[in-house]
Amino acid sequence: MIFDEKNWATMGLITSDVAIVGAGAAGITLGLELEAKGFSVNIFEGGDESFSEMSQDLYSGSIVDRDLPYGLQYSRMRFLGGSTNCWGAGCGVYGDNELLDRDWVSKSRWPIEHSDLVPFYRKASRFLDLPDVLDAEASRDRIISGFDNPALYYTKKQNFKEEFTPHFQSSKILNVFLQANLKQFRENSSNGIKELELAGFDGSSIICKSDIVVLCCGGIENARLLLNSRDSPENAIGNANDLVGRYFSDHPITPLATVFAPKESVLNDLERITFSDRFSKSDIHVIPYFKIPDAVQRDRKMLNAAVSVQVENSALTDAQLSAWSLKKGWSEDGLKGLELAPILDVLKHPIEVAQAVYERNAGVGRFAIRIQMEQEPNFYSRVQLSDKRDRFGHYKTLLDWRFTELDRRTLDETVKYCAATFAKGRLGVLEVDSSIINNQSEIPADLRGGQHHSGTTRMGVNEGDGVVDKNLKVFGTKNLYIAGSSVLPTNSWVNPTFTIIALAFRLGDHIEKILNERK
Amino acid sequence: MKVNRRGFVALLLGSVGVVALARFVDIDKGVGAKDSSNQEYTVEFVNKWLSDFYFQDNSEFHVTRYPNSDDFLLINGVIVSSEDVILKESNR
Repeated sequence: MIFDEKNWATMGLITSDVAIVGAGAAGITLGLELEAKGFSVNIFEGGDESFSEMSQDLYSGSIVDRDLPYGLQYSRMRFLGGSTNCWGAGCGVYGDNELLDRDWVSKSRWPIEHSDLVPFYRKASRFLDLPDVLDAEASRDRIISGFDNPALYYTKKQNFKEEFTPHFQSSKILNVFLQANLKQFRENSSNGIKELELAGFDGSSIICKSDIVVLCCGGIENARLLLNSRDSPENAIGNANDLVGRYFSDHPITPLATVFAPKESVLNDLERITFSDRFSKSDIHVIPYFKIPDAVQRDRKMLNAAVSVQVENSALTDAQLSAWSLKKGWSEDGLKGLELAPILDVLKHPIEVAQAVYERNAGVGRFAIRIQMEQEPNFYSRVQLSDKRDRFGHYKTLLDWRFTELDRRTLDETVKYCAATFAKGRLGVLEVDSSIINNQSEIPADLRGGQHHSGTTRMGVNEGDGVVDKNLKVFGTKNLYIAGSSVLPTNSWVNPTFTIIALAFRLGDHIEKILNERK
Repeated sequence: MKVNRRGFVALLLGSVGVVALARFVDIDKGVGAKDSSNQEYTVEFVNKWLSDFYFQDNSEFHVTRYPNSDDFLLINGVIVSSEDVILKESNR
């Protein structure tokens, strides 16, 4: 069932096996998984079923010493479905070696191994109606010698609100409470969360009592809620070692260079490679990335980084893509591979198609390359509390997003590696963006973050290393767990949502075990 | 042949220019370059593909070090590994 503040105000105390705070990718995945395992679940969403400024304002805050190209207030969505209402839907996986200790990257070790994620990546693929992403990655051909060739796979099961609202409305054991903002953790004397107090915008409140509580509010908000949990941040739940809010990271994304490529360069085929899967039988849109191989990262002592290549000419039109699909269909299946719709599309726009053929055969290609990279875990990059309070009495966010020398060096090493590898393979030459060259002291001015906030309640081997343990339980608590990007110890180059979903499934298995042991 | 004063000046300037250009270009089979302190160099591409594909129309280059790097250069804004190019200081 779905309840909002008008009908939950009179409920008083509600109970469930598990209480989940936050109805985004992590919270909804976990809720559905626990429901499927037979447990009763209450999910509390602070926002309504659609966007409202009143709810979104609770994400507002301030940023230290830096004009970020995005504000805090609108970087994540605060209503049913969370940021699945706005994400790009690109799904990718951490590589085999990315969870291991790298001696040149501080705090890079995860308390779990890649093999621990594998079954849940497979489950996440099925959940999002994708082909098995691990298998797809293993079978990808290397497009450019010298680069690993991972990809993002774009799910069409993108908006969790639209996908799952009908299910929520009919479910018997999974309830969604809208406009239910976490106001207070009520603790018992043995470090357990006894109850949650939730408040509506109209002044009403509700109390939930559950065996297990899971925070699923995102990379900034999970930390903010914990830091607000007691009388001071120093005494906050899970903060005995001053780690809550620390190690904030995002994916620096910025243009690096313009590439001039000769006619015979494989780069000229990239747009077709990129779009070819759109017309494949799986109907999945795939975007390839070119990742600096692990061995090169080790040699150059750099972080994870990948570049995407984008055509600087105007993007292909629908008619041009239809022509490409016909060509592909013809070469693969002959007459059977030709469909009527693209034929009509080509016939309607013959000039556009002729133009594409002409450009294909003309001279030098021109591309932009853009980096998406990991950040070094940095103790001083952090979510703190400002001195301003929100409408529920919690202190707002004060974000201090920092960059290390290793972050900057990774950007330069990526430019250099691309230049050397492209020249060696006769793929093209790189004219470096002036913003990269002219600002050597820091990350370039036109950088933007991927809005992939992570690391602020990192998973650690022990209490001195992280806020949650390998099972995502907050150190020092009996029954409080965290899911979402805040638990990621390192953020790789890859978009986080697919890993967030995989970790939510993994947490579902762990909670099942815990609850069954208690019965 | 009669040469008026304007023609003489043009011829003189032209000759100086041709001599200077020849001196600049025709050094050690390479092509001339200047760095930001106006020191002149000859540029020889070890990776011939670079000169054949991209730098073929250039007779003069502006060369700087890629910032904070000993192993890469920026030649007319294009980043090039120092393994792909030989720079020699030229003494005029």
